[in-house]
Amino acid sequence: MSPFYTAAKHMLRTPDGPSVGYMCEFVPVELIVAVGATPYRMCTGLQETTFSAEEYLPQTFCPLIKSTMGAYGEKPPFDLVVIPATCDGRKHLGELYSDDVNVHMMDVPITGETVHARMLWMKEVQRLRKALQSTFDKKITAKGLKRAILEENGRRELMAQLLEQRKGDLTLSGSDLMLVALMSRYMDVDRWSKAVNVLIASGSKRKTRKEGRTDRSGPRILLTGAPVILPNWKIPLLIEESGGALVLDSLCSGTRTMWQTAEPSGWSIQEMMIAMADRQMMSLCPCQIPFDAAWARIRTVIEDFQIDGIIHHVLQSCHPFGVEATLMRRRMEELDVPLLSLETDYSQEDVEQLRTRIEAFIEMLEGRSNR
Amino acid sequence: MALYSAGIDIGSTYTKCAITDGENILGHSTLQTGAGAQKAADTAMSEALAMAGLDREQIGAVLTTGYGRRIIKEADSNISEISANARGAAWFGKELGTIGTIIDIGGQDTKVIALKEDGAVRDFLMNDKCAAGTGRFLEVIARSLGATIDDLGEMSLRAKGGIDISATCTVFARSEVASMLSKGIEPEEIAHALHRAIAKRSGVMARKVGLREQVFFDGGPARNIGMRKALESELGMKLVSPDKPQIVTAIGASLLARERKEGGQ
Ligand code: SF4
Ligand code: SF4
Repeated sequence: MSPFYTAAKHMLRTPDGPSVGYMCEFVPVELIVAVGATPYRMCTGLQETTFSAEEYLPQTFCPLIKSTMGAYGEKPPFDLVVIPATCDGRKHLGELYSDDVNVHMMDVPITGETVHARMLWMKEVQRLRKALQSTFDKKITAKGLKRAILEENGRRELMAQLLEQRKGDLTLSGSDLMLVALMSRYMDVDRWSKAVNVLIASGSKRKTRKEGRTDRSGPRILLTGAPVILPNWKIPLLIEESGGALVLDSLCSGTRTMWQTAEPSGWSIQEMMIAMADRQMMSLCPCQIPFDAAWARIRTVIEDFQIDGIIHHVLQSCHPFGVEATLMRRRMEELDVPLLSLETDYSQEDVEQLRTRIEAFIEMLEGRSNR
Repeated sequence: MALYSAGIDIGSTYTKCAITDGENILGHSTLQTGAGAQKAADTAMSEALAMAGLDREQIGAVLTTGYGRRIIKEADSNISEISANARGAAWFGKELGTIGTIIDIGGQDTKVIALKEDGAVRDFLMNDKCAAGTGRFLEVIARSLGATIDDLGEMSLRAKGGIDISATCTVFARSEVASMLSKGIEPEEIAHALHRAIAKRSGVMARKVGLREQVFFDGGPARNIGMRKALESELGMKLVSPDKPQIVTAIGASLLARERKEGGQ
């Protein structure tokens, strides 16, 4: 795990060479790689920087938006900043930046399931390609894009293998798994892949020797909801400290969509663009309605990974995930899987209150398996 | 030899201790937590021991719960106050009839716990974002009315009703109360409105978790008759409570201490 821990210390990187800062999983990073620039995911989990952002942002914005704005200031050091217009925070952050920085906003269709939405999104991905080409004055070629897609698919296939190992006994803690997933966006792809390969190999060795870690034998937990970004790591740590086996997360900062690859029907630019756009539309993000696709994925995960209980993370002032908590609660009633919804921010003040809830939840799940 | 067990519930405002032998409550105590959780726990324990007529050495198992549960030395183990409260309520259910839902208004938080038939926790909600709607809130407002928390209930029963308190924050509610008093509104009316405001908030939580009879009301404010009446009318249900609603969680902890010991954990 050490390459990941090292990388975690350098999440706020200063770019060298052509760079694109981006927020959010809707952005197909392959296009950025194909134009010869490095993608930098800008989401941060620092609490300190939430305060300085209040100079420009209403206090009631979610901590993720405030933290990011505070961390990068008014002028993020990138050649281009790409922001999908999803929630209010993202939209207005893009607007604030655009006075001083080269910003490209993507129009994300709110209803994700119509033909019209798919067309619009396809056009948006095209538009991003043009913006990248004109920013860097370079053409994205079919060859370059194919390479980038295969590279990204490779990363996702590794992630899928790691996820496969979450079935049955765990060989890696859940917080470490989340770190690996998060770092896939903050680390050079070769270094990341090499380190993940090591984890997969040791995991499968342990699996064949049946060396599941006994300290991970508590109730099996799935973490859903708003992004969890280092150093705001309190939720995964509290789950594990309270005796829960954190099996996996379904967060856009983690593994929510990392198992999906883009599968073009051929290698023309057009076919590749369609494949990327379609994969990205399956972001399962609550900024889009309806909730059905995200719910279908959660149901599959519950079954495939033998989940005993779900912990749903809501960041304060975040409407999409706040409402998702209610939708989840309603739908969970038909399943015999309990849900704990937690609302919190980036501060450490509420750690003990959160601990009480999480401990009680895990005690409740243990009670279920005892009886 | 009988196994005596103690449960200590170290809350943000009060520390409670209960000693049981599995069948009976032998001793109990309630005191302010104050600055030191450890000291409060020690004192609560000695007071409960004195009432039970037992020595510390005769206590076979100790379990702590509440916010201070992890810092106490003499505990054999600890558990969240949700599980302890549920256990305590289920025990009273033998006498009061099976409990479906617990509403616990504590010093700084409100909990609603849904129980299964067998007394196990089915679901719960906890509100501790601010003191509004908790025992602390009642205390602060009682003080600005020049009354004690115990007077508040009786006072509110004499009210005609029809006044609302809109503020949901302790600080704002205090200034709202001050302005009501200056307008000549009777303290009785204010007390009544206050209980209604808290009942409304607790009602929202209870409905979110799902209300099932019997509804068991515990925590210190359950002794307040005005609070109880307001909650009953908000929920449209009768509430049941034991004699000493503030020690239910400590009793639950004591029973769990015993069960853990016997279970060999
Ligand atoms: S939650 Fe949705 S909008 Fe926010 S970063 Fe994740 S994918 Fe993007
Ligand atoms: S956590 Fe919610 S409010 Fe914050 S950026 Fe993500 S979707 Fe927007």
